[in-house]
Amino acid sequence: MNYLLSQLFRTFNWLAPATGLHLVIGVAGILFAAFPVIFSLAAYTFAIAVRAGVPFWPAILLALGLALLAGGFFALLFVRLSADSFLVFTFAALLAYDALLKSWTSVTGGTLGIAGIVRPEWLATDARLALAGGILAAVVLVAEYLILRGPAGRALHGLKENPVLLAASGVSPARTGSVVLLWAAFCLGVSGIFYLWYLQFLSPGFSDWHDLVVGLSIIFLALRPRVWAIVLATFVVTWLPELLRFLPLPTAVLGHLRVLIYLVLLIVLLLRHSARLPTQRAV
Amino acid sequence: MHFLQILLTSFVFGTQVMLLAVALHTTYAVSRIFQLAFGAVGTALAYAVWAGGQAGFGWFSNFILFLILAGGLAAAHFYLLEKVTVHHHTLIGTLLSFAFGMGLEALLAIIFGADGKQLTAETFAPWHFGELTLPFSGVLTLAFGGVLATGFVFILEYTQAGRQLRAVAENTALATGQGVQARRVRLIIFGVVTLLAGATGWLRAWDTLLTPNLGFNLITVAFIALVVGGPRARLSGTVAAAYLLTVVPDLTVSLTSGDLSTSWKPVLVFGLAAVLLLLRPNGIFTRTQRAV
Repeated sequence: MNYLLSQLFRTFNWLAPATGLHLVIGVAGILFAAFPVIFSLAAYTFAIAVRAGVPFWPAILLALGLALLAGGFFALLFVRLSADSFLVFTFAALLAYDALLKSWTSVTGGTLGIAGIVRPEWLATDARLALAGGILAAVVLVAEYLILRGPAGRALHGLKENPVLLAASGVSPARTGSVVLLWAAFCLGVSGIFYLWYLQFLSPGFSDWHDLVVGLSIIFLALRPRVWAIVLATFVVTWLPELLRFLPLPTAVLGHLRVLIYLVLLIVLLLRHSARLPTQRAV
Repeated sequence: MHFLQILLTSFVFGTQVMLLAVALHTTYAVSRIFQLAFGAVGTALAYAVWAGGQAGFGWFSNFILFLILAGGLAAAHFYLLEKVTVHHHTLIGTLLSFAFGMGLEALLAIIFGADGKQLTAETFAPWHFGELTLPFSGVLTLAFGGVLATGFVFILEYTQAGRQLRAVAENTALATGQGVQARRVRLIIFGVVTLLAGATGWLRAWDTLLTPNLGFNLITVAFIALVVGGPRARLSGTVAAAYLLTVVPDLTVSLTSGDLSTSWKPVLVFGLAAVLLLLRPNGIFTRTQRAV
């Protein structure tokens, strides 16, 4: 039962950031590779703040504030850089952040991380955690539904299809992209804190390349601008590797096999997505 | 003398990064895609050499195995990315290459395990240059690096193959119109660069332990070197950036007498890269045109 609740929580906790990223990458077409940074940054900020004696709610506000600040930084880069450069920079940011976490041992604990994170009382059991995750996911999904149906959703579509036409119709592509990045940063920050309460341990591997691959797999599987698409994609991607648990494989291999499955899935999805994109003259 | 020893040692790592950065630069030139998989490709080829040694192959048989696997990996990498290259879906191509590389690393971990392996059981005496000492693997790296880099520059500048490569890099459509088979040029480049990545992986594995993510650290710095040197600029910028980004952090950590631990090197690499990009956003040796 605990395993099911735990897995359910993981799925719900992926739904929140996946929804935000769905709007950024899937609907607006902004390829953003640094989302594990924001996810991890919120968790680290909360853990370090609590360890330093900051009370619970101010620590959460601090963590979310820093997540939004990071989102704002990436939004600024999105406005100033080309799409290629933005993707390259976000890749580099992920590398740099990983290096910083491992080097700044006095604050982050380095590769040993930070242990002994205590969950709030109202999330003491796995059932409550799963329920909280479900509520968070539901709220974010409702928000996505409303965004997609409204003028903001149309602006995001326009940003992907034709930013010039979007600008000509009086909607700023820069502001549209920036706002959606901030929204994704907020979703990532909240789910980062929840995931920290789930694991109760923090290390540089808390959110890294593997989460980048999982996140991109969910987004590219759910490219349709529909809420059901992102829900289905998240369930498929988070539950698919669990089938490996029923195979008689050594535990040392399981982790790598899980990563391999995600990567093969991502490659297939990227090739499928590329086949659907408008093509330029081929030489 | 201590300073020179550190400089020499960091030059060895810098040469390994430079070789991968040259690989990245060359493939970016013909495809406009950051081929992040080459780190893992180099690691895979190093594992092939190790496996051949474990199976009792002689050096010639091992070399043939190396060539066969390099050909296979080059073909797989090329055909995976050819369509997105041709249709200019460069961002998707970068993600594809990244996923291919990570997948290769995961496969290596499954097949060979995550523990470190010695590439060769043989030990070679270090070389002495006056008061400076360099392990044999370091000497080999510098020698290889010099030969490969010189060979690359010679091919690019003085041969027809190099002219075709530069034509495809500059303007694929025009080059094709002149009779250059762009697809064949890209395939050959992938093959040559895969061999280069394999040689780099082998040299790196000889220097340290062979692990599945051996190439990841190299490709990270090589990628940053390419961005700092200017992906669309001359190769010399990438080469200079590769050495700057390895030698300067090494010297900084070593000469600060324990104030900075070695774990800060990656942060110094990014910090230096950020400063260089601020000063020269288009590449180290690229000049901006007059603004009117």
